[in-house]
Amino acid sequence: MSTTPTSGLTGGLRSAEGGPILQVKDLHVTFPSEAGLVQAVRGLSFDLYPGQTMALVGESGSGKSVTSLAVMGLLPDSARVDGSVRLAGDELLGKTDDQMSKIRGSRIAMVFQDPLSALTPVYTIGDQITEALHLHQEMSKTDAWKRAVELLGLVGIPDPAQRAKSFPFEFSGGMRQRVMIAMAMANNPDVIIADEPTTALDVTIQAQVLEVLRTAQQETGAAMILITHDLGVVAGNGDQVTVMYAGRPVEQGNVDDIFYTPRMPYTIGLLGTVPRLDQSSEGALPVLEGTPPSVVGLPVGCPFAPRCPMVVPRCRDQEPDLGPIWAWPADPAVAAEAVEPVFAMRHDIEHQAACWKGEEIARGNLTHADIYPIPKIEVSELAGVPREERDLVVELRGLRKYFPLLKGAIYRRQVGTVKAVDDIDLDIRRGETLGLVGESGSGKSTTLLEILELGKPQSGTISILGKATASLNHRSRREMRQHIQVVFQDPMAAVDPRMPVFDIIAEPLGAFKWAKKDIEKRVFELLSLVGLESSHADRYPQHFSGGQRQRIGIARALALNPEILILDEPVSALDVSIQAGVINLLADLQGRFGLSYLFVAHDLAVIRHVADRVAVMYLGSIVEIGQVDHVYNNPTHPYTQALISAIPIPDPRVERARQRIVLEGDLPSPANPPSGCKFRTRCPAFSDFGEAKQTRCIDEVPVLQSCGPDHQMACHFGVAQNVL
Amino acid sequence: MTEPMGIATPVETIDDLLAAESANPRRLGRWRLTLRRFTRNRMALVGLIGISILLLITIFGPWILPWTYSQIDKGYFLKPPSARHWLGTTQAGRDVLAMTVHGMSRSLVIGFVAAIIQTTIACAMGATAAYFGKLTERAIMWVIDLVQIVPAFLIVAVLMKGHSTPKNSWIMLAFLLAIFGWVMTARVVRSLTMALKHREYVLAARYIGLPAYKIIIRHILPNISSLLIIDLTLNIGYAILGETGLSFLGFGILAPDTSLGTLIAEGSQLATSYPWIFLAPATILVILVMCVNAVGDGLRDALDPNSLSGGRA
Repeated sequence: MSTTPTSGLTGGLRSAEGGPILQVKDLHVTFPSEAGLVQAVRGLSFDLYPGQTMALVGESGSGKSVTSLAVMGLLPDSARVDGSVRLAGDELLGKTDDQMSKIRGSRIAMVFQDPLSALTPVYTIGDQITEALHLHQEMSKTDAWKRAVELLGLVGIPDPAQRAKSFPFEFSGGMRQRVMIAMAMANNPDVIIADEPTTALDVTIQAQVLEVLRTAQQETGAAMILITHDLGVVAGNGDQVTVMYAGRPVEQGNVDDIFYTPRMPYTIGLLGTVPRLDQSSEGALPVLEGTPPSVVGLPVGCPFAPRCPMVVPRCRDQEPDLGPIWAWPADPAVAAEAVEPVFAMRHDIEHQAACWKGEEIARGNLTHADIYPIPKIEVSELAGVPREERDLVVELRGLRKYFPLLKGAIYRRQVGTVKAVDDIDLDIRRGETLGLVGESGSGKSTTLLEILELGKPQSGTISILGKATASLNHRSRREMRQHIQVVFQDPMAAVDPRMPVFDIIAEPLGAFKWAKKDIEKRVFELLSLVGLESSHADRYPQHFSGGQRQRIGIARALALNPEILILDEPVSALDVSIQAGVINLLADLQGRFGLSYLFVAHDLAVIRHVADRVAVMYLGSIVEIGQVDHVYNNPTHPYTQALISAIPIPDPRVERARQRIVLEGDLPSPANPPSGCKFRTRCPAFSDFGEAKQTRCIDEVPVLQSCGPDHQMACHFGVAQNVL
Repeated sequence: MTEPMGIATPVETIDDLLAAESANPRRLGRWRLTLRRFTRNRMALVGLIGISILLLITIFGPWILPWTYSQIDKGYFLKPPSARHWLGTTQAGRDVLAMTVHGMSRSLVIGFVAAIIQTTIACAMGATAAYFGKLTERAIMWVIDLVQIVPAFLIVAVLMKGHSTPKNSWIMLAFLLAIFGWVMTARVVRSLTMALKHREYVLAARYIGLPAYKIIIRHILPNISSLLIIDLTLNIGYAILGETGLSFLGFGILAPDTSLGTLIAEGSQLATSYPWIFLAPATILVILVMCVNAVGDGLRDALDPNSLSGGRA
């Protein structure tokens, strides 16, 4: 069974009419590198039918982006590409760059991750779209311009005739991504490749852009390759899914098969480790141990074997090919009714997995709970103490941070004020986690940096452990730094690449003049605390994976035994399978040392898992705050509702049934916020209000009001609504 | 591993596998990697070998050669190359080979000293300006602009004319070249520091309570070291050219001390009838500067991860 040659989904999709538009067969891509050959893609096959979306899922380095570049013929000359890529029967591999140029943009179009760099800054948007049209179609100038305006309208750019004359820098990120989609649609392509199209965008904008992508697909009837690491996006947008690991397709099938009956331990683990937005969760997340392998000089056997809890000796000797699954019916109730297992099996040719134990998993319908153990984490003794009785460790009262907006090169004058943080109150009690969420530009990072500066705020007070920071002098401020430390987002940037791990972790200790002997002892203690080995001490950060680097950052933050940790998006740059481990570590450390966390994140699912309380920020103000389950189950402020509703849930059936609240437009400039309620310009409820209500929204600034036990929100007319 | 994988014992644990993987030296150290990329560049390698040979000659030459640069061989004025004087003699009867070797060592020393001093000044000024910003930055930028617009050549010439003596002229020249040469590097250091200053590890160091000078020395400068090395190398070439130019015009090294510049000046007057006096130092100068630049270019490519020295599949 397992030796069946990889046949992709050939002939499997009965729903599609006609033949596949794009056929990828046994694609191999190899790059040179200093350390040896990088086998970026190994044996990927799939068939793509018109109007269908194939989601390529995998962690960084799994070869998904390289696949798209290979299809586009955009790989550097030094790469070797084998196999076959056929577009409507026409072989693409081996075509010259000139020949491919005729196909790129007209028959295959691409939407890139970073809309900032994908548009030329010196031409107007309209010019760039007409250029795309002229390249592939005979068209008069006026016709092309008309079509460009039409396309911009189609992707939801307001006032397209005017906006076509604007330059890229006059557009926000989300708007630019819409323009990219308009350009991709311009020549009615057969295939649209979207490479992480929403990764760089905020969640509310992500929801908009995904909607536009769907429109584009309907409009052109194109097939789509959707490359993403976000399982929620896959659940809502994919028809078929290919899961990739270390350059290899490890599971392939319809979206429901993959999400409800995954058969490869990696897929199962991946789906199991993601914190869910729609489920309140206590305790630890199941963890996929280890890290994805480097694709240089892979050992023989299944690349997932070192991390797989079900590993057998055979896995290390021989790499399994993608093969069909002998599947039990997905529903356990149906499975229980099946009398004779042998007869109940059916041959599902669409769903394939590359695993020697696939059959066993299918027979037992094993889920992640059966395969992946849930690690134990410490629970704090503070857990039993009611919140009111715990000490206040961080207290912000009326904190304000305004930046002057300056103009002029020689004589600089102030032309406005950016209210980055505008009168916010927050408090964190000992041993609890406060999650701070909001879109970029909402003021979360500024709040956090204001706290970390330990300086005198422009207005309001910051009290750490009962001491107002404004009253600190140089000396006491340095002392205070021991108690409050920070973990940053980007594991690549958070640790100095030129220092060995020992020195990195020892740095705070050295700054506080610890004795050499104590430093050594403490560093090794910290290493084991965060799950690193003592042999790692003399290595450099580049020898570590993202997750391990984040652990180094956590060890450094913990070195001085702080009481408060400020966590600035600590897991958002990590791969899905690594996230869970770091989240568990943070929870464990909190339990052991009674730490208090201020956890800033844009991923609301992670916040739901880690936080006790959550505060939602919009344009420098807190619009809703409260106990995390109250807020998620009964969001009352329309912004919170929209935010929660915009997050895709990794569950296809839930996704299909969900009603999304899609916000209009972008975040207004914080330099010129709307009067009254700052959210009213994007508020879905505002337009339905009568005049009296609208006047109130325009004139009166809403203040936080209680709407339940430990739950406050700032909306004049907020009504709780479940949007999960 | 000499055994084929098929008959390896099946009871291997994950730890064994990981151990085998870490024993397998897949990852290269940063400097070994750079070296490998550097050696792939033929020109740079030739340059490095060239510099090494020239350095060896300047170090050991004076011991081996039969003549010293200031010795006068009476009766042998303006003689062409011969067994007695391998590269001929000058008007004063001095051995051209010995003078060239000495001149080269002077030029090299001036090049190195000037380059090191100017890179140091550039680091201090550029990093300080960017890290502190505000008034400090304005003041330093003002100095940089000033140094850049004053006619450096004229000032160096005037100062050298008025204050140098044959004994200290080379030290003074090195310092003056450095004082007017650091500004471009300082600008680059400043812009790189501005980019690094908002890196999270620099922020983290600040929130630990590390003083600013330590942050600059420990976290910022090491992270721009590749640029500094390249700049240092290229600056050696510029300083040598600056020195020879000034010496040629008579504003640099003073006789009886000799540098490549003074030698070329001496030879150029008689270049048509007695070409050997001119040819030897001029050739050495060209080779030296080309070698230094080739090494600089090679280093830049080797340290730049985006260059094409990664080989092919």
